[in-house]
Amino acid sequence: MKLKYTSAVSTAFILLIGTLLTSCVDYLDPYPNGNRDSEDLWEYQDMVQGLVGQCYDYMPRNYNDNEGVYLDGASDDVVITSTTNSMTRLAVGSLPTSLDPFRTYWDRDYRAIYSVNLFLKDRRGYNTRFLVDPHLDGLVKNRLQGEAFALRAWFQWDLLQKFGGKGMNGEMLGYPIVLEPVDIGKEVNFARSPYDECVKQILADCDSAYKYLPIAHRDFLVPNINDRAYAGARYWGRFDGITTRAIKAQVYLTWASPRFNPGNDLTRWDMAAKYAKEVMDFKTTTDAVSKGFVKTTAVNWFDPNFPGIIFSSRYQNANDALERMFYPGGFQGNGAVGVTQELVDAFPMKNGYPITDPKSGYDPAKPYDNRDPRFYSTIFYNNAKAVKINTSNVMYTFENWLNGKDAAGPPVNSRTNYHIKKMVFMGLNFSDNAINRQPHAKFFIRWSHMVLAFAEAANQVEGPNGSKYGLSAKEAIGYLRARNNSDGGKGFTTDPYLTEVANAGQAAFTNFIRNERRLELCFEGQRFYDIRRWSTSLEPLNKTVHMARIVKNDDNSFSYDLNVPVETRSFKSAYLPLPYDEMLRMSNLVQNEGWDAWK
Amino acid sequence: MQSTLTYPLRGLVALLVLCLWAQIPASAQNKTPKVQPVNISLQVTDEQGNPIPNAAIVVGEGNLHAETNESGIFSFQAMPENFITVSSYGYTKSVALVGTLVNNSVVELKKSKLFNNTEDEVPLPFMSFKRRKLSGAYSVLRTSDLEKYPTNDLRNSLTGLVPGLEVIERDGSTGLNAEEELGNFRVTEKIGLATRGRSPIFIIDDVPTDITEMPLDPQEIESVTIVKDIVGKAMLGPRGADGIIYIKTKRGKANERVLTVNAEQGVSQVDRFPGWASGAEYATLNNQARTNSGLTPLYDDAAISEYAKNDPYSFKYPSVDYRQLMLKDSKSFSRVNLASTGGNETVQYGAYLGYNGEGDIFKLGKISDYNRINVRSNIDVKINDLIKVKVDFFGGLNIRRSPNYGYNPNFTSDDGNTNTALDLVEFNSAIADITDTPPIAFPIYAAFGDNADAPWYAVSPNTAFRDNPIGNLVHNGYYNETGRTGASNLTFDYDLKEILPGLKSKTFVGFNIFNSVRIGKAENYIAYIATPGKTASGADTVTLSKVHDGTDLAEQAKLHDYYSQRFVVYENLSYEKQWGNHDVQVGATYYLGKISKNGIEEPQRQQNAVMTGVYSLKDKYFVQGVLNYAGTYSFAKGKRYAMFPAAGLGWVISEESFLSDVKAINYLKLRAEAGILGYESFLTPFLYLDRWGVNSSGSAFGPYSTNQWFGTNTDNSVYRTTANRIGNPDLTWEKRKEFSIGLDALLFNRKISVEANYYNNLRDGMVSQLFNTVPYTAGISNARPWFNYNKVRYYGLETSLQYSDKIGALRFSVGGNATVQNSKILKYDQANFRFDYQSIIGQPIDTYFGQTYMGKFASDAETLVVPQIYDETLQKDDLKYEDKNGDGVVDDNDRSPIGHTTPRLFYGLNLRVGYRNFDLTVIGTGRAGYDIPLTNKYFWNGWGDNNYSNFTKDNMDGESPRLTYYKVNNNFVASDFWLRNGSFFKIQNVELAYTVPLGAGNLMGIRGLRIYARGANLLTLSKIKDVDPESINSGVTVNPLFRTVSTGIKLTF
Repeated sequence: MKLKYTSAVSTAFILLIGTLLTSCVDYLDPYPNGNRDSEDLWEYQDMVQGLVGQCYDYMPRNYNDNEGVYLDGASDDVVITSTTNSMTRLAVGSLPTSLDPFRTYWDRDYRAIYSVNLFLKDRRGYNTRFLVDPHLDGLVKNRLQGEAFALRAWFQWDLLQKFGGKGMNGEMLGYPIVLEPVDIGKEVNFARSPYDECVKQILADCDSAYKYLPIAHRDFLVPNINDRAYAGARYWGRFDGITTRAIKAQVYLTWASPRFNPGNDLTRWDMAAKYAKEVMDFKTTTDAVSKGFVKTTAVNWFDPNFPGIIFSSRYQNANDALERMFYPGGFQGNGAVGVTQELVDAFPMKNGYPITDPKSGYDPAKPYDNRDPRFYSTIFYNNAKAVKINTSNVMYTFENWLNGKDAAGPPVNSRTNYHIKKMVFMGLNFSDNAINRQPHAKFFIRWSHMVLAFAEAANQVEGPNGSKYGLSAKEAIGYLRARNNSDGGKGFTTDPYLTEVANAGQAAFTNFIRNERRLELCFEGQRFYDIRRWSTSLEPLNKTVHMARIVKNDDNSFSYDLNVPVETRSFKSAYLPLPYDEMLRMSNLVQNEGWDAWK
Repeated sequence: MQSTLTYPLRGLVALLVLCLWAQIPASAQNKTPKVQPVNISLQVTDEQGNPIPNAAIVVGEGNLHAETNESGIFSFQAMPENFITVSSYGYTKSVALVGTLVNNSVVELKKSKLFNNTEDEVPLPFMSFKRRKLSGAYSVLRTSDLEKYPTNDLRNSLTGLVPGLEVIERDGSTGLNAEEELGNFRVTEKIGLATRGRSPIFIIDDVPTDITEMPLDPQEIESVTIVKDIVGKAMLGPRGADGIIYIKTKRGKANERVLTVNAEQGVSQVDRFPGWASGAEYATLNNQARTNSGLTPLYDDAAISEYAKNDPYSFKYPSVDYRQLMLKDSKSFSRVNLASTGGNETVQYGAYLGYNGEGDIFKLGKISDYNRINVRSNIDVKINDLIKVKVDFFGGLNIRRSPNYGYNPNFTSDDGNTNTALDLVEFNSAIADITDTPPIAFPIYAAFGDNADAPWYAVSPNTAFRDNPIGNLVHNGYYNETGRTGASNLTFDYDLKEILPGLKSKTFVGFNIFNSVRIGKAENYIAYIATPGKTASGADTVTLSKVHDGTDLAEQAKLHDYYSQRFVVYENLSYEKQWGNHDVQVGATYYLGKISKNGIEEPQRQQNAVMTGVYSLKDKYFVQGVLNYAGTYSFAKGKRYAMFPAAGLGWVISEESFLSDVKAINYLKLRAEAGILGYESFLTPFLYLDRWGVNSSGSAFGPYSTNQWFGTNTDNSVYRTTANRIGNPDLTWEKRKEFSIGLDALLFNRKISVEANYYNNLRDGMVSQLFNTVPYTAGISNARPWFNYNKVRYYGLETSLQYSDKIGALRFSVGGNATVQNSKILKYDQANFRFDYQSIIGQPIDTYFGQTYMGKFASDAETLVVPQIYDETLQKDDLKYEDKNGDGVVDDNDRSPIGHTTPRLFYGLNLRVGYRNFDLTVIGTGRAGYDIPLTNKYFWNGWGDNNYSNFTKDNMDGESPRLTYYKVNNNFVASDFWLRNGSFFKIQNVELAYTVPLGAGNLMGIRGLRIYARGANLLTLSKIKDVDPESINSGVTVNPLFRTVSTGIKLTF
């Protein structure tokens, strides 16, 4: 009896084990999960859209990074307070490969290009059905197709601007052009394309984009009110047709510049002027019609919908990054960057004359008196006051004199005794109980950019007072000089110096435009590229930048020494290095000249 | 919660112990014992009746240790109910009641083969084997080995005991944190275990369980087997590939009823706590640094002498010693437990109740401590001759209380966007602030201001010092974190002898569940920048500028939680048979395991079938083998399952005729193992699939608000698609190809035991993400695929030597173990290199790359000869490096292997001495043959406004480079200037114990009483003096290590 019972249990055991062993096959299969692989991608229209949408996320959204004000830290406008910052180290010639600040952009640009290449390959993105209604679906797919081309142009332009240059083989090189999604199973040893080919590819992508895109994302340009769900204002911040024209203007401007235009091919200048003028005309006609855009309106850095914008990043809400970064420790900031004496000296006087001009009335003992109103809206200097917006409350007085609380020295104060005022919101006080933070965005292309590009190009083509484009370089600059300032200051109403310098000829006017460009675009990450494209040697890059040394006298007056060296720029190359680890990965890459240790 | 649970319990047990203790003198005075001791003259013989000299005799569970004389005779007096254990190497142990020996005092011991007794069983996954038969190296530890170390973390007590097992204490934080293994929220590994270059896993009663989730006390442990060789590891399957710490908890034994009560109380003192500059010293050093960098000094002599007053409340000249104000030097340690086992032939039981308590070193803020209760019970019931059911339960409760430090969920960082992350180890944030903040940055607080009710704290105008450490500690709230562990195992043993004699079945199902919830308040305090000044009339005044407001919460909230759940089921069939000279023991196991954890999307699953067995011939030649068919959820179908074989050979050479006459050799076994085992570390699931993410969060395109000049509609769904991974469908198991060879010996009348193992392990096809082969230009740098790529060889020699003897009444054992280890990279996803010295191929895995230090620059001019690109300009006395590639510039390309960071030799020494009723145990460990880069904050500081460490202060211009206000990057890059010999030796553990002779029975029926004093981490000998060489971050960025001393008693009933 017992024996039978146990045998039965034993048999049951063996059966049980047998069942377990045979039925366990599925146990390791994945549980239901949302994993989407590369083929699933095409079954979800939101994911297809996302290939384009993601690229906008790769764009900077403020000026507080290595593409913004820190990049100016490697030019003659800004000194970065931290001596260990990679940009500082680039500027003083002590950048180790391990601290390369630009590798991340190379990487980012190619990630974006991979994403749009996936969208564009075999018109797979364009052939996706986004909406049921064929008309609306057409709006969406045309826009996305256009954006994909525009994004590819944008990120290629970024690669070209950062990494394009004379290679160690003596040729002008761009970046490896990649127009298909890369299959890593195949050969991935790319070589750089010639500079001119890269330019042409960017221009071609701009033209492709222009064909698909609406001229601009404005509700008033979409006549059918039902279409505004899929067109118009809701796509502000995405690429539109006029932006691709602006990109072309900028690409031509760089391509025409002395460093990249050894033969001084004037057609490049001409194209730059032409496209810049096209964008200007768009602003002064189409955008002005709706009373959005007025030429004399000051830049409003806290309005992400500021009408002077041609193309902008999306905004960061309620943001105080710039105030934190620019203010000195005593004003609860980090004092991360300071303005050079060189930039301070570049501002003219209230009467429009540069300080070197005898007519200017500049007094070195009182260097901050009677300056161009733009100076006061751009820079905090010794004894300047931070006055709360729309009030007369002084939030802070800058004490930059020796042993003053904002004086150079501590890592929370600027090293030059100047702090940046541009782009900070004067209603923000960290000591307030409710801190008034405003949105910030990076205005990639504004009215001013196009005016400056036009003036520079037109001056090269026909001098300051030409008439070929229906607008002269002088008149264009006049727009900017007469414009109001963001702190409420008025622009020049009479401008005798402008006429004087325009009459002095093309060369004088070139220098004048360059200085205007410096003042208008400071801290936006432009100066670094500008001084490179304008020069053909290293000499203009490798200058010593200076600070102010200020002593407070017993009678509360100040003595200024404005010629104190603070940092010496030491570039062995006018170009940036290709990422060292990328050089190691791809033997076909040629490094830019001057970066011998990075080859 | 804890006050209702732990304290009464703790008190109860302590009271019980006290009562028992009080009974002893009383019973000593009471001269009327109920049972008289008996006199016995015992003779120990072998089966032929020949006397056995030097047989070990233990009476009354250790009350009396003795040996027989030349005639095998020993005379003693004992209580009739005492057990007497007689043993001698080479004979089966005999256990008897003293009472039964009154009439017949001859104890006959059966001759047995060495290491072939029941006590030589080595518990291994799913099956146990006698040590003699095994072809690998195994160490088995018991409660008595583990309980001597005063700690509540079992890992500490393994220190120095096992050849080849390195135990590294990294920080002395209070209690254990369950998320240590995952490393979430900046939790780091508190105690590292390493064997053969890898961290072994813990298996507790056949369920793989993190020791941090089920912290065990030594008294609840029956055995700990450390498995290092391939065959033993393969018995578990791929999960054992990194080595196994295989723990069996205590179960009852038939007819051995034991109750022990153990109470231990001690104190842990900070061992080395690196110091920082005081206020006056800071001001002096800061002045000097500023002068050196061409800046004006900030503090005049008058100010410095004001700072020297060290007044933390002074508005004008504050000088705060944060460490002294916030931290104590010691914390309490206690453990009390009660363990009981017993049973009869039908039912056996084990019961355990343990309490562990540990204080913390915060002086301020809410109470901070750790309390833990372990309750374990198991019952084995014999249903009939064939069936046995075993039921185990475990319940654990641990409660960590602490102030929050610096954590405020409502606080937003400077840019107004991101939340500060929770820091699970609040001390790490605290010590960071304590050491960074200049002592003179601000006065600590004032209890007035615009709100008399709420004290406010001062902070610095310098944004780097916007936290007041004392405010953070006192007014960031607090938490109670309760961790709950529950475990339940069921084993069903079934003897299948009806089918085939010797065939047995074991069915096991085990669960355990861990959950921890942190409840508390995360608050904030009012902070001002306080600037002293003068009013117009010249009176002193303070201008306040508010930095942030206070937050006071009315209710507690859940701040954090975590869970894990583990499940194991296995079925094991085993078969044993002896015939003639042959002996076979084989088993087959099907094993299935599943782990679910907080934050891991897919439960981790493996299953495998293991065939294992030993064949012995004449108890002299042994063949052991394992065949492992394993599957894991981590790989694609078709790549999931693989077969892994391993086998070993053993040969007791001492029994061969040519050695049997060599008297000096009592036992000598040679053994060797080789095999392949799969490994995968529970990878992120689906590495074999492409993975695309879609996201539609983030700011919208379109107008910032409605009614803008160009339109109105915002676009809220910005789809963003990212490639997260390019899948590799070919991904499969990493293969461990391992070989080991070893010997075990007993020499010179068994006084000397020797063990030696050589191993050579190859990790082939390690699952690695290829960072360095796929270029950025491909555009998938965020989605790089994983391959079976890297290949590393580990090899080394593990030895141990023990000499045991006695001289008169002095029993002693002295010995040690030493391990020599190294590794070599054979294939590695490394960046391409221009110069051979940049390659890591052929180097050990712990290779440290850096610049080669050539001395300091003798002059400013010399710095220009070969420019070093880390700074714009260098000066005399800056560090000079070798231009390895001779290209005329020193840069990153000149970095070469300059050292290695794990010891080539580690060793443990032990001394055990017994004299009469005293016994002493001393364990020391050491490490040698490696370099420690002194690159943490304590050594790398001195620029800017942060505080200065004693190292910087005391070694200026010598071991510490010149002091500058602007950091000289050149002097703070990896180089052999900063490498130090890491060798050290520590007295890790000492126990001095006295066994109180209990000649006569006493009222409480105590059979054994042991009083002991214990110490841990008592002495460190090293060249590095300021910091602890075992963990140079201890006391700098993490908790300091502690020296613990304790006293206690153990009662056996």
